[in-house]
Amino acid sequence: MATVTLLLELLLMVGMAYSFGFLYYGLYRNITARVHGRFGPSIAQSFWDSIKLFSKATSTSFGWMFTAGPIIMASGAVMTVLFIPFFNQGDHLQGLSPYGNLLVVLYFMVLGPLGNALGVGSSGNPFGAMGITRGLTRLFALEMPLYLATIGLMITGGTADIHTLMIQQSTTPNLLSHPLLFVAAFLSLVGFLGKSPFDVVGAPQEVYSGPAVEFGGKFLALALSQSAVFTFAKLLLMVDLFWGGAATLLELIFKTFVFFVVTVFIGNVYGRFTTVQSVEFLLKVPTVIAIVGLLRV
Amino acid sequence: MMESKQIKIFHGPQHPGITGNMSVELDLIGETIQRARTHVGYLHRGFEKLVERRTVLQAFTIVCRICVPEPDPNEENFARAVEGLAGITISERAQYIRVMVQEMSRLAAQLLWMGGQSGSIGLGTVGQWSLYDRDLILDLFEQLTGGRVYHMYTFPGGVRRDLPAGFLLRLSELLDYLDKQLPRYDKIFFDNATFRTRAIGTGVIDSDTALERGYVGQALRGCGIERDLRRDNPYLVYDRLAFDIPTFDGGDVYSRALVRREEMRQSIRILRQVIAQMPEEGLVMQKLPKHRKFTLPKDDIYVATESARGEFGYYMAGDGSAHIRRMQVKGPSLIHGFTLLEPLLEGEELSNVALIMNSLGICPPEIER
Amino acid sequence: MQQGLKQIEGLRQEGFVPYHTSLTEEVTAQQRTLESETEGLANTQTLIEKAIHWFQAHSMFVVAYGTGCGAIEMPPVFTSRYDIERLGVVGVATPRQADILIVSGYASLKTLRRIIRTYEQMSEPKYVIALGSCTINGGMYWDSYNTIKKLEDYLGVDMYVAGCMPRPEALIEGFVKLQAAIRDQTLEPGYVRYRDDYAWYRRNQEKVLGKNIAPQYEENYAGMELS
Repeated sequence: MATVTLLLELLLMVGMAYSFGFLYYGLYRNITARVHGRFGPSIAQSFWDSIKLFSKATSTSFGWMFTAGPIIMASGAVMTVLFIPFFNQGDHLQGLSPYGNLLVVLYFMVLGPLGNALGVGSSGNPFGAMGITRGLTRLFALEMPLYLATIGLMITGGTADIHTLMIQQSTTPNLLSHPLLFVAAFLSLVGFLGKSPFDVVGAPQEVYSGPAVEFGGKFLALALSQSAVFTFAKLLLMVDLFWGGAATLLELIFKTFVFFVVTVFIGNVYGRFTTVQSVEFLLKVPTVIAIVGLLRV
Repeated sequence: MMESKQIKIFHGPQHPGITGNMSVELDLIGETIQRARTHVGYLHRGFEKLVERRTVLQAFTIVCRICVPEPDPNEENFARAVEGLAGITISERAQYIRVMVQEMSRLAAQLLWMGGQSGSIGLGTVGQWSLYDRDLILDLFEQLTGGRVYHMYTFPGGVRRDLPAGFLLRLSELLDYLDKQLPRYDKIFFDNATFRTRAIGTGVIDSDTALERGYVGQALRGCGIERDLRRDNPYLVYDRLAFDIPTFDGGDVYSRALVRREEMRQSIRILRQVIAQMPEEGLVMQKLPKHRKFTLPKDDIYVATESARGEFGYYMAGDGSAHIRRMQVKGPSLIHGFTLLEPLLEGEELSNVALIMNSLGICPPEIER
Repeated sequence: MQQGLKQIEGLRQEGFVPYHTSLTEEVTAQQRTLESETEGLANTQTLIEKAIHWFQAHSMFVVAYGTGCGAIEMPPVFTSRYDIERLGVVGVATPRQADILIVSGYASLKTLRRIIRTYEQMSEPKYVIALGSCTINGGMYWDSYNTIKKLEDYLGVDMYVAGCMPRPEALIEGFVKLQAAIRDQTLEPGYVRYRDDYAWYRRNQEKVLGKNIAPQYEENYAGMELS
């Protein structure tokens, strides 16, 4: 019975991440439109896009590896969500977090880009290969501050279990008690969500959509869906680690949304760095902040 | 061994990072450009031949289509060349109206450029705002000429019709609005940390090469050389108007952007003076013979206009008939698209191709006509 | 109407390979183009098909190939003044992701090769919007030696927006009409014509471009069905 409940909860978690991911993506497009001074599309637009893309014919094939790429990407995103607890109390929607800790989550976060690299690499499109090279270079620089910040949290908490880390923040969230670590991790989050100024991977003016250059129809739909799930997973992780998690669904939505909106605004007012500049920036500013924060722990 | 690492890609023609329907063939090692070659011919329509086939006044309708982002310098050139050959003098009021059209077109082109330049670094917000403002200028054009983009207004002998009632008032209101708008652009675009990081020191032109190879417009003024046809070789009534020629010394993308920023302010200044000085009355259109009887003498002429991207010249020769014997278009894009773009791109990163192309203001339809 | 269509259907059922050389067949192909409106299809849609067509109509990914002057009215349409994203129209960079190809203005011969390449890379269902008079009959450049006069001879065009140049409002109206046509399936899509009458299109392409063009277009018929 417990197994059935767990399986149902896991499905619910993925479903929630999927729908919230698309909702946030729709809100992103709307907020961006308001910044631009226009109406913008419906909030559900991204969801419609994905359904339409699933209904399109697939006319291209670059071998089984190309098909496997998006699937690995999607499973990486799904696994990330499953290992992050949604709430800081109660037994429900904890997912697989009792069976794996923060290290597992950080490990699964890398799986998606690697799957993408495998798939796109086999298409033979130079723009795709360039996008992948950019993605992996940037990933290296993004992980540095994030890992340092999480190491800092793990040292202070004395544990790598996300649930325990959340409970420890019941008086003061890490956001206030370790502001430097938070700033470093947040800058890294902006990059992880693919917002300017770190959106080098899929830059249409430079590498022609990068990794997605050969993705059409169902491949693109899968890529979009995994990006929606993954976006929510990252926001959730940030809320869990730095804002003490959430007790209710509304609180969860509010907290993830606040982080999301800030990244959207940052993305709207900054242009794009080149790959080298973004790596330099990430290795200089957030990494140094994280190291200083780590020393003060 | 190096050859095996090299890849050849075509940047364009169907590519968001290119300023129109042209392509740049790039040899890359990693993302560093080893060699760049411009490919054109995607937009060739044979304009110079089409003009010869039509009578003088028929040819007028197609010349504005030579450069799409700013058609008015074409019309101005054509009109002035025909007037010069046929010996027509136009009234003062028509001249002021033409200056007004030129400057409005320059403002619209600069705002469009701002959209492209910011888009090339993924800063979509600026493009959205500036294209809105450009549309307000196009609205005025629509009221004045009936067309948003192609105006066919500056006609040999003056302008096609007089100003509609209240036009100057609307124009001055628009100028007030733009005055308020320009500091906003400074804040989000010209002073933006990411744009500065990307643009300073990118695509540097040195002033000696610039003079030697005949670069024009912002490419020249961006490396500190003060050249502007409106002052050096004044046409229409530009000698009665006060304006500065902005120059910056960097020679890079950022300097060219700053030159354009200042030029927008100068255009507004000129337009204000035009509104103040324009004569109340005057014949805007001289009486011309019927188009079959309108002949050009056996003579030739070169006229040039300062467009938003630099010197834009027409050479025109008549042979005593109702047709133009030869018309040659000399635009800034041909020089900038080949002799400037190719060496500038060598050694640059792939990311900077769109940035540099936009800063030079290359307009493919005008390269190949 | 539909006389030509019925004739073609009859011929196809007999196993006749359409459009080889005869002039009459060419005429019927052109007629089919003109009379491409098919009625009564909307009623035969199942609920799932209806839903999918609704989603297809409300989410259009556009690859806007700036082939000519029309490219200058693209930015206003996509930006804050006219804001076509309201209708679910988004610009994408690559043809692989796109549903709609906008051919914006006259197409020179060199561009036509790229247009054909771009079009054939898109996955079905795909639609073409042709912008400006130049794509209808040559427009301003009716006597130019380097432009094609009629895009319909080379691609299956679904929507024409006339004008030189067409105003943004006209383009938006084109999008709205195409949207309605996709939703109610009142249009015989250009890609079906292109696939079925490929021999005719191919011959037209070879007539102007020579034999040295993109390889034969092969779309997998079986993979096309909605599944």
